[in-house]
Amino acid sequence: MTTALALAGCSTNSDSGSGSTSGSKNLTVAGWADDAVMKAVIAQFEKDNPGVKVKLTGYPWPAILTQINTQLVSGTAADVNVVFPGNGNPITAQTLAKGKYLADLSSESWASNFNEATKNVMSADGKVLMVANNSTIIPATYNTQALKAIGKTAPTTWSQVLDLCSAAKAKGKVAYAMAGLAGGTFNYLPYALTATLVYGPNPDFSAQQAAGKATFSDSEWTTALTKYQQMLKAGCFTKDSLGTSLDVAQKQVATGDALGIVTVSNQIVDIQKDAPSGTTFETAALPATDDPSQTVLPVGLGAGYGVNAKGNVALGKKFLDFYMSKKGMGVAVKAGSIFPSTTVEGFKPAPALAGVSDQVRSDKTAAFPDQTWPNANLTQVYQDELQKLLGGQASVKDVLAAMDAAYKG
Amino acid sequence: MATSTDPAPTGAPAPGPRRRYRSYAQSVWWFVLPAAALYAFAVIVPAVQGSLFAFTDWDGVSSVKHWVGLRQFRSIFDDTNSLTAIKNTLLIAVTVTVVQNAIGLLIALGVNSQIKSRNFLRVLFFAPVVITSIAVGFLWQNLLAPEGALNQVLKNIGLGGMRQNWLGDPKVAIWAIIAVVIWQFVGYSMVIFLAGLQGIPDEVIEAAAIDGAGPVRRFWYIVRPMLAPAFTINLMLSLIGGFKLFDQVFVMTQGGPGGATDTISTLIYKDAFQLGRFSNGAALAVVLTLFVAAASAFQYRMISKNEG
Repeated sequence: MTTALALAGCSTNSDSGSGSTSGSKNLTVAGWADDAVMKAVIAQFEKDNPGVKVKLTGYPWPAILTQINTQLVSGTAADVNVVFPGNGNPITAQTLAKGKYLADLSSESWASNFNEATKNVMSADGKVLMVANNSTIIPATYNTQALKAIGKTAPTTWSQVLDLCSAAKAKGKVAYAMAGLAGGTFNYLPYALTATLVYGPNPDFSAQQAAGKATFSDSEWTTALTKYQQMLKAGCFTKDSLGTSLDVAQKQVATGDALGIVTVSNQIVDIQKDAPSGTTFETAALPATDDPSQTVLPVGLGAGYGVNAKGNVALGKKFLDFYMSKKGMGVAVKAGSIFPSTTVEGFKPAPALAGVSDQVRSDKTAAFPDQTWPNANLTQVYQDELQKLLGGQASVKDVLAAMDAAYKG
Repeated sequence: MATSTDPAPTGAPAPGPRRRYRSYAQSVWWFVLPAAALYAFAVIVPAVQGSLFAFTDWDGVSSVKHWVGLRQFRSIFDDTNSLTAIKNTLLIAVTVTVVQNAIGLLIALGVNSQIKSRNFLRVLFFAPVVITSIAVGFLWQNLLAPEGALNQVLKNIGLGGMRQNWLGDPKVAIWAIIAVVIWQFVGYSMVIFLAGLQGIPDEVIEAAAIDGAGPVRRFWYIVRPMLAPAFTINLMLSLIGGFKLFDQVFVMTQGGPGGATDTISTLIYKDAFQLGRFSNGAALAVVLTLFVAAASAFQYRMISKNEG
């Protein structure tokens, strides 16, 4: 293991990690495995730029985190790489900025299409380092037929959420599928609750926390996690959720054994794949209060791409310009069910996302909290502590105290 | 007249056995050199370099790092997660070593008999060894799910009360992982014991039987001492494997729930490659290396003494 660490760490940066040189017509892209959207964008880019060859290498989650990070550090990375906004994992804009691995994209024309809050999570030290053509949403996704079967509709108030849990339980079902195994969905539901309780009412909460004027413990995070615990005790979640994998939880919603699930929107496609023919799905923001007008939807910039500062920067920037262009966005929207990060004329969301599409464009949204957290360790501590909360080994107070300690680093 | 076989006229002594040995040893070193250089380049230099990161504050990404002495090592022993991981690693290493070898030996004794299906059984018990650990992890993650096959079988045979949240209950998960590791590698121990058993001459066993030794006495006074080399290699391999355990844990639980199944290896991976704490990971890797070296040296000495 020591050797593995050393091999990963001892390499030096080369002038051209991917073998591409400035002015070359060859471009390498490190993206997601089986990413139909990126494949379509690349095909169109090559068509529009005769002579240009783009080689795409796909990595699955979560291997992509360590693969791209290690390649950038060791100088063997592609010219264009998957980069996440904000902080919180090894390939975010702010993590990679520490080693100056990403080219400055501030002067690209698309940069002005994003508001300041979004630009902040795309940037570090005042430089825009990544861009994404998609937004990720955390709605509650419901199996429409399963809801109808118990005579309910998607809840719009907190009381209705608890009522749905009771009604589902009475029919031998669960209201919300929950994957508590690592890599599951257990960490998303508190994000949905804090959007309404913390980050919606106080958009400056992250800034106040950074300035040392706010903590998790002394905030509405306490209410959010107490409500999470209340849902657990009310039997809203999959039984033995800590042993349930993502795959199993998705199947529960697909088959109607669970009425819904609170998870990131890009998982809806996977749920639909497992569903019997004729099953339809709908989305709504998860309420956290009894006033529907207060409900805020978590919407974050999705995973995007950055240009390797040691790679073929000129062609990499040209590629991202196309990726963010009207034509490139059009190709992406047509190829997959993404929710575009900027306005695309004539865009129609996938039917399952129709319920939240208007709210995504409204001011009733809040960014994902982890995108503004100061270190990746806090995300890990949050997940570990949340599992302890689900297993009854930690109280809300314990969880938030551990998160406050991790925030300080 | 001098011939080529004449002794040297200078009065120099003829090359003695020691000098011939030195010359032979020197020539052998030349043969070893290419492989040794490659080994040094690929293993020793990176290992030393990696160990040095443990004395810095490098986060794995930044272009700067500072020398911080033993700070990372102190933080390991101040951190609850690291201590849990060390405790888990020791538990896994000791339990796997003892149970895997005990079961492996019993199976080896069984399939070394004259039963008709012995060849089929040998293949059956060895089969999990050839499956990759990642595949084994995913397979058992499904089998151990709350509604998975194991709980279904327990329910169907009337043992529903024994159903567990195998990977979700922090008190059970570590034992579930240990059981999976033993299931996977018990065939490996079996094969080594079987090779040892087949090296014991039948005459010796038969002579002991004629002298009135029963199966237990025959095993304890004849088979067991003659299996000492097999014990040495089996205990060493399973102990080192237990200390380094990573794949099965990472696939099945990623160290969860709440860090309850983290091992030193999973923490090294998380710290170094996921959490931006490369030097912490390097310090843990050094600690793991020392554990493995110390345990192996101790075990080797003890067993060698017994063998001698």
